[in-house]
Amino acid sequence: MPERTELVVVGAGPAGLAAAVEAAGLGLAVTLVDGYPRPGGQYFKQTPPELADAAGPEGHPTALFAEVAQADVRLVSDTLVWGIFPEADGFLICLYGPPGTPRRLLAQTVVLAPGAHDRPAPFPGWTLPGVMTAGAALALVKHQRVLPGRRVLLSGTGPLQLVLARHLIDGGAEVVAVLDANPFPWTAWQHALAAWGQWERLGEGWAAWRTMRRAGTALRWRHLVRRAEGNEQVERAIIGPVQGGGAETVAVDAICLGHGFTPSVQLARQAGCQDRYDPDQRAYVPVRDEWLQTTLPGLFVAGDGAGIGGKDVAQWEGRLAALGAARQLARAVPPDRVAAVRRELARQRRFAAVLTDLFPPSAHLGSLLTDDTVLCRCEEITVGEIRQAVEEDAETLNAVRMVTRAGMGRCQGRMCGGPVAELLAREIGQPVEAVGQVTPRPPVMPVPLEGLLEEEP
Amino acid sequence: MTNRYDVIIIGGGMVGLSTAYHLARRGARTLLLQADDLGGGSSAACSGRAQVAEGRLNPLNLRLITEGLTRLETLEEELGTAFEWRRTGFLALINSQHLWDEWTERSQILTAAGIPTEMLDQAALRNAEPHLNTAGFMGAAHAREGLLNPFLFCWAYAKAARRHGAALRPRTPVTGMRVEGRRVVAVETGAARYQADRVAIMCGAWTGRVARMAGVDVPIRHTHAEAFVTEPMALPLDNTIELANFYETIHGVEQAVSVGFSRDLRGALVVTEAVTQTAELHRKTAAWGLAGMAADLVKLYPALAGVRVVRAWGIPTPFSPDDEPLVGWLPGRDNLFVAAAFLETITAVPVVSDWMAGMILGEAIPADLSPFSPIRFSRCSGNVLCCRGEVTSPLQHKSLSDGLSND
Amino acid sequence: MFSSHESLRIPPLTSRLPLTVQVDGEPVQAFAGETVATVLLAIGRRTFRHTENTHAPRGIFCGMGVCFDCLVTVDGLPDVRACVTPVQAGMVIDTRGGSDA
Repeated sequence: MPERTELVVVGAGPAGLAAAVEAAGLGLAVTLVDGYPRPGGQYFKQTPPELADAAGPEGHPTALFAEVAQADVRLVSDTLVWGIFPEADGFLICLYGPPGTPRRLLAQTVVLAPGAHDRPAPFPGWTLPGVMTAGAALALVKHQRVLPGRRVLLSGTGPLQLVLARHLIDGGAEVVAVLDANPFPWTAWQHALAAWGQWERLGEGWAAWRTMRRAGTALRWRHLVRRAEGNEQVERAIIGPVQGGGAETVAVDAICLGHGFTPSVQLARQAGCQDRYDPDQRAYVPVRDEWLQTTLPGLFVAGDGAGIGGKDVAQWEGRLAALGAARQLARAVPPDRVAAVRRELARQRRFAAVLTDLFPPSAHLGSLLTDDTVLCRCEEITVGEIRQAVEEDAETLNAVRMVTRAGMGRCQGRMCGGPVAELLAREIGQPVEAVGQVTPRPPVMPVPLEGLLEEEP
Repeated sequence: MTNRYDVIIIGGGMVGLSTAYHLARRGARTLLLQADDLGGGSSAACSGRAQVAEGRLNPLNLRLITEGLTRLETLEEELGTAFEWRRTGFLALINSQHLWDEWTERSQILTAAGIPTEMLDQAALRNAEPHLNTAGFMGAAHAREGLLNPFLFCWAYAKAARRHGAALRPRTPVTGMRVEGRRVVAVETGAARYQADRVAIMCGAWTGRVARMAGVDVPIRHTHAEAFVTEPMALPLDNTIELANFYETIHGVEQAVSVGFSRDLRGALVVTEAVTQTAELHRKTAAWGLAGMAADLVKLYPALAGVRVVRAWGIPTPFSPDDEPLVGWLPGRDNLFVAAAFLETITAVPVVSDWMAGMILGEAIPADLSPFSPIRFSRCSGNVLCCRGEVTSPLQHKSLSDGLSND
Repeated sequence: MFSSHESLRIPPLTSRLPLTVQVDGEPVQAFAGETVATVLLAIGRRTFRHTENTHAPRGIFCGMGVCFDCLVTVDGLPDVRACVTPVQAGMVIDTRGGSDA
């Protein structure tokens, strides 16, 4: 018999941590399951204790971590939730973790806080070693204290690139250039009101800007990397404006791609939540009500996993989802607390909307693709092979996947799902929503056979 | 008139697509309507095994199997598209005296039909698959199973059918059929209405639902099976392995696990199946099924414990009340044909689709398919009392022709 | 015995606990708390494996365990994600084998 609990929170990033402490504060029995050894997720990633001295003072919010430490929350770390199955008396949560970890939990309510991963941005040469996501580079520099390379090019959009540039420069790397696919945000002043009070974030941006100026790093708007070249690893980048000619070649040993993030929706979809296509996010997001409850009553999604909003939106969404779960469990939910949480969430969402507005995912990436560009990294399926399948009348993502195997590999389409859908839509002249999506199947990440068993062997 | 065809096939799985190919090749104006993507029902979800000995080994089935296996060897060439076909060995794991006796008889029949089959004691079994935990098992083996990529198999037929002029409409669910007297006069899809001289329903587990649109009850049941695939693995596995007690295990039980497994071209392990008796048609999986299959597999092949599972899915698997396929003209309708519920579908399809196309067009065909005719159920059609095993062997109906006008 | 690429580690190294692992049969210095990916990067190793179909080089990409590109063999276990696997003293890391070789 699976262990029963009132609330399972999946993911210990800002949304999950906040949901867990809020729910525990309301007296709910909470189990917080996280895939990494230490809670924090990507935004509040903690440096391994053995490297903490080298990393200097932590950037994570000590207040939230202190709350977590004091709250009556059962934390299950290093554990994958590989499937959620709605049953008559709750949600059957399937886990796989280190010895001693429960394999099944039966939860009356669930808050999913799966976060996001870097938006994959395919271009010729993007599979060469040395080309990596901005998120990967940031984690290496901040939490592993190692440089991804000595001569690093950044290409993408948005303020995270500046933060990464600063960490790389401070760590001793030469940042060859920072390319932003969007134009300089001239209209930013219109959003001054929404930015009011976001001092920490504005300060971070200012510090990054100063570091880059000191190091002589160029920030080039409306530019991106068009091709990466090299033999066993990246050696050169061909860069240029997003439209028109004027390409130049720069010698690099690392390229970091920072095209924003895409929600990790696999678990919500596997559980059976309905979703919708959000054109601003260029991603499918779960359909939610005003309590962040999905179309499955009792199952909530908070934070970037429901649409990219950043760490502050995520925290307040986590709290709201916890209040929603308590309400679902027929607990008393203080109305003034609900009102306060909604108010703060609305404020944070206004700022997040500005960033989405100023730094949208680049629409020009598709024009870089050549027939020999690999789209599906796992199965090594190229643009040409997908075009061939389209020519043979594969007109949905599912059909393309079955003909070519794109999206059938270990990453379960997390890397290629979006780019293949966008390519397919362009090829057949339809909106992305029209080509459908691939149905996520359990396990949402590869799990050893023995890990699927109900009891530890 | 663009909406008029010689034949409309409803169902775009391997049965429908292969029949469309053979119809088009014969020059018939053919339209195929499929609710989902081509192959998007159970076809692309199956394990890709070209099975040999699932059903009864009567002369007609044996002929389909042996001719089908022969035709599969050259089919990629015939259709002009590769579908990852390869031959594999087959190993049935036997754990009871009566299954041993049954397989001893099967092995004689198969051997006589040109598929040399051996009975294996424990030592021979260990020799065949050294990593297998053979405790409690004996075996039966032959070398004539096959494995292919089921979606590419469908796709190969689809491309060839189109080349011969067939119109294939994926994602076009049929919403109704217009019946006048004893004839289906139109097939409706919501957006359009199509007319044809003959209509064929080839919808696998969905066949019953579609046939009801023409006012006919087709006694097709289904079980909901589950399967999963692993990442490519380095461990040796030369045979497709199956528990011989599969049908016993699943018979009359609401939920049961039995495993069959094989390794595809990439080295990934494809494992079936956990079986649920349900009226619902869906492709979902359940936690118990995955756990159950994993447990059985780890017991049978302990070295697999660390191999990672990448994806699991569900497959509605049709069968008829007597486990024999349903192929032929439907009683009460003069121009409505049905084909579904094959047990060795992939093996049978290359040959039976050719014959069915001939039959639909009123040609003489090289075999008597009447043992598969739906007429054998007509005395209880629409009657749920026609359950597994309650209908006598169709071989006894052999003298019955389907007796229907087909124009 | 130790590679000259240690400058990719961001100093100071003084507070770190050194340990030794094996990479493709050679002893390599690592530090407690590092991942397998970090150790490989620190010795200038970008390529962690070659793909099965086209023998294309691959290394770290997502850095958070979701893309399955950075697979290496660790203590004989194939296809381990280097970016989320902490090193341990005596660990045997191989970038030449695995099921994709």
